[in-house]
Amino acid sequence: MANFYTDNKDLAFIVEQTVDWPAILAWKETFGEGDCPWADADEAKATFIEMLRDPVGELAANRIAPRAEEVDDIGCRFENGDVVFPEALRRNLKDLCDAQLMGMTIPRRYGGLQFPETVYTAAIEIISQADASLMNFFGLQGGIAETIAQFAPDELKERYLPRMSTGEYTGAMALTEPDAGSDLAAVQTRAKDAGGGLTAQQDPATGLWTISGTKRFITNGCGDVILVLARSEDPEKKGGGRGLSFFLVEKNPRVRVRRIEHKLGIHGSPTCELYFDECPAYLIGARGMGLARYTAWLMLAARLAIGAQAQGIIQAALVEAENYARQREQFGKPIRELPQVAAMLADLHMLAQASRAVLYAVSEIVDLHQGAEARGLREETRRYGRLAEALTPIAKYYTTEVANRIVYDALQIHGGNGFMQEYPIERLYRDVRITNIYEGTSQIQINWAIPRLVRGDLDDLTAAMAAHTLADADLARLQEEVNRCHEIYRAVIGWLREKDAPFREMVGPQVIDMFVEIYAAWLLLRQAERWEYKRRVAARFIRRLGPRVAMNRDLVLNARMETIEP
Amino acid sequence: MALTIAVVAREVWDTRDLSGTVLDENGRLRPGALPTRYEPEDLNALEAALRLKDAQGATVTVLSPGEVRQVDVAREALYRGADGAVRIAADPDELDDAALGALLAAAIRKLGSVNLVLVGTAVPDTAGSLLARHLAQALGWPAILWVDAIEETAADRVIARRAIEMGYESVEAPLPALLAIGVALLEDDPRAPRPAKAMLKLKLKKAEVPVWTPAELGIPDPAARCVTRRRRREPVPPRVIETRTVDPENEAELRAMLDSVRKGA
Amino acid sequence: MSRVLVIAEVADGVFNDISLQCLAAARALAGPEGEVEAMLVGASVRPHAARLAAGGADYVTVVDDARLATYTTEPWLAAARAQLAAAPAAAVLLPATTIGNDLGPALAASLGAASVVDADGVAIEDGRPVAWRVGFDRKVRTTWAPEGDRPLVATLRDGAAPMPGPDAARAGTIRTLALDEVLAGGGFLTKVVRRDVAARTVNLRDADVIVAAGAGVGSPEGVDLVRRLAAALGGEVGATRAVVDAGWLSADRQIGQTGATVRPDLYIACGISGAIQHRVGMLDSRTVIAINTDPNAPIFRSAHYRIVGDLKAVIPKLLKLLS
Repeated sequence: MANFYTDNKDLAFIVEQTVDWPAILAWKETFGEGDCPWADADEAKATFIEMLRDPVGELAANRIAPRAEEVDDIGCRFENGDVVFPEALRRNLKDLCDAQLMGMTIPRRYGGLQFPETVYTAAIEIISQADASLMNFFGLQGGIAETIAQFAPDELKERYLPRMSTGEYTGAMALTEPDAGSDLAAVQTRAKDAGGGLTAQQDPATGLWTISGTKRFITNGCGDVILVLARSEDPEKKGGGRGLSFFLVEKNPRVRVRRIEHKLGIHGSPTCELYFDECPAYLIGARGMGLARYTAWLMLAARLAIGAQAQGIIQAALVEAENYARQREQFGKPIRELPQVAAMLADLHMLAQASRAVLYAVSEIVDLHQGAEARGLREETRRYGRLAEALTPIAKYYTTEVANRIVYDALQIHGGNGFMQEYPIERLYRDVRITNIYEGTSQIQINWAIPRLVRGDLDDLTAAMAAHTLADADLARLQEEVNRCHEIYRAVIGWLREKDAPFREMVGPQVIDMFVEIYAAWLLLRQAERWEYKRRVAARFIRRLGPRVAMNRDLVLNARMETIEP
Repeated sequence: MALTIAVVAREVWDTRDLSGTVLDENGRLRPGALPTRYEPEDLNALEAALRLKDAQGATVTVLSPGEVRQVDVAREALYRGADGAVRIAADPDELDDAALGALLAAAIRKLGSVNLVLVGTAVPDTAGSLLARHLAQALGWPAILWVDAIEETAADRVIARRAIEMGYESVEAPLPALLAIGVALLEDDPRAPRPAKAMLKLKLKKAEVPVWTPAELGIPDPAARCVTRRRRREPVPPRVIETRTVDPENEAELRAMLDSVRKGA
Repeated sequence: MSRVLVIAEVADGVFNDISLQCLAAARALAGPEGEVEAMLVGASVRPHAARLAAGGADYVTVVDDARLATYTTEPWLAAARAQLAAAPAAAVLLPATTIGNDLGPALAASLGAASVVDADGVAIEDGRPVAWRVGFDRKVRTTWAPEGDRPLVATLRDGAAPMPGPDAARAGTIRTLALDEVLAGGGFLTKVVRRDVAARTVNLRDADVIVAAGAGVGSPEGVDLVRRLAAALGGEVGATRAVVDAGWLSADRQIGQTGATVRPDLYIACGISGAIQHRVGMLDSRTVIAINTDPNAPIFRSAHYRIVGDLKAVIPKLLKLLS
């Protein structure tokens, strides 16, 4: 029987051989104490692997994947003010609840599994391979629940987290508004206290807030627990992002779904327009910190999840392309044997693995950051926090862009058949398109990352990667090649320090590509130390790295602001 | 009467898509040549038991003959929601269905108050006969075989739908009874039995699975209960099918294929 | 060997002619000097007794009773035990159907006899009956024998023995047993409360060409294409259990574990993935063409011609070429 964990050799390799579980767990668990279910890291690791195999891989391959076509065909509908899920989606959700997977990262004291982010990332990848749209229930649950666990008062945690752990409640994050998409500081939704008036005032008697206004493009807006970014402060006194606070709304008659969107893809995920009509809300955390602290935190988690979703789509497309190329015969042989198709497939595998290497390396850093924070290790928290903040948008950018490229070529390998709805690649092609748009477009990710790269937030990390010595002579030669590229990249960054922000943003895509491809190359080399097969992948990747880095350097150095003026 | 269900869980050789030879020169199974799996119809039987438990409440205990080879089926059953599991110390490959049935019947009696036994109808490659029938006989209970769906349970009886050659029939049996579950529970979706439950798996990963020895079951020498003896295993020359791939877009290829098969026919 | 018993099968008024193969196998076990007994249990089964005699049974015992309209284990088992008590046999053979595979092991278990189901053949070795089955993905033949001098109860798959030509001159001795006599106070524990069983109108085993529909046909329209292809080739339409369950084709067209075992010259599998339960019913077809959209469908491993594509596109092309 198929299993989306054991069948995915690269994922299994990463989980079982590259992730530094002892390091992650050293901060996240206290072995043999309290409610920690493990005696040591090995035992925990074995459990993670076992869980990814069954229920996650088992459920994905044998129950969720067979329903993907039906979910996509029927989609979510809006009837009489209610969002109606297709039957197949309801079964998927029930299966996820029955398998007790909805609270994968929620603390054990609230009924969750309290697994590291890296396990969750793998689980999201596996579920998304089966049905990308289901990720928006399974994969966003974690970020929302973690935000509550991290910042909400205890009574809210006790009220919502256990129900989110069982999957009785699902979540939504209501950030976007008709006029505030990428620019969230423009959020208008007015939060006001129960006493009335447009400025935010907390009712001294009840302490209750209400919010009014419209939110748009809200994934799973019909969910039970909605985190809302809303303007609580008088714009005259505190404008922009500083006037925004973070709220929790439980589904109630004062928040209505007005319509759902008809979308290109992810038909199994309802995208809602929400109307809040003096809707009661709980404040989360401190007033005025809505955007800078809580939204930023939530988005970091969500971005990693979208990266994992993209990685799942990559895997699905890879399987489809491989299968098709093996069975389709033209010119008297399977098209797999035609040099152009073989080269395309080699690139698909290589890019898929580069993307996965980055995704899990970043996931591990996010885990280390969370662990350091939980332990109250200030220096480590600062160090890993800085890495996570710079690397998460890069990982999201890279995985989702690579996913788009891979699905594009995977469809191309299908020829005319790929254009037809009979083949799953058609659905993947539509589903993947949102990944580099939502939770921040690729452009927003780049703008987030560029100042951090220029500032040198990742310099320690890259220096360590460059200094790593490989015992194997062939690999060491490849490492030298990567290090040379890194020197070029460093020169470009140095040059950019003299440039203004608009210029840096303009050349951002080239700079990020240079960085992430160099980073991926180092990671692939590390993998090649442990798996013979990876030597070929790393060699192919690095053979193309030099020309690509040189090209991107030239593009940056030759860029001119005036050439983009209308 | 609440249902107290015993479910048989066999770990069997996974003989799909075997490559290479299975037997050594002495006609013995080559160890390592074969993976194992949870017998699929036994897994359906577990699923049927768990659905009864979900629907009306039941206690489900799994009985697994044999030591764990590769897949710990008793534990897998616990992870899916069985209330208990017991391993029966015996080598199922070296016992016939009569001896295995006697051991399982003794275990079921030892569990006490069991009023429904579920087992897959399948005959594993190593088995000569249908375990379900031998087990029912050893228990002295009525049995319904090739069950697709359990339609009704009452205090004193069960009605199950079974698949037969030309359709289906619903058969009623008084409890206690044995149901042998067939290929599928005949639902379009889900087609596959449920996976493990994560929290349960975490909780039960170190749970003890008790082992009952034949002696404890009152059958100190189960081999003496064997009435069917495996005389030998012989390799069967592989049937070589040369598969030609025909491109459906290529009319000439299709025509050549039709000409050739019609000439042959 | 002294005596071999065949428990013949008549289900819903239809005589199962694997029973005749069992008679041939029984004769081979019993030898020319031995006795071949046959038994027939059911309602209105008496008229079939002559076929058993013509097929080689020296004696035929009939238990014919209106209460035996559908098979349940207990009365059949009681009848078989009564017969064996009166005339002990060294081997008992039955067709490997859902009836035979239920009754055979039940009988063996109640007698303490050796039991083999789905046998691909039986023989005498060292003076004792043995039965074998091919398993392990058709790689291994396992032979079982009774421990000591116990009888062997075996159910035979279609084709395990040759079909004997009827010898009308053979009359045999036909006896009857009363149901109440064999039940001897025992009762019917299980009872059939509902049946949804189709009448058999075709016999796929005689067809030279079979075009079979699997779940991949998707709709009655897909089945219609399969029908047209079968008509164009002068063959019969077959089906997997899924297609029968969907109500698109009748149960007598089902091939596989709970359907017919067929060996046509040409077998065209349309939209059949090839689960083992289906493949066991068609593996011995002389030439197999498989049409499926899934390149990894197991059916392709048993196919001489492999067409990866949608049958809705492929069959019209074949029809055009055939017209």
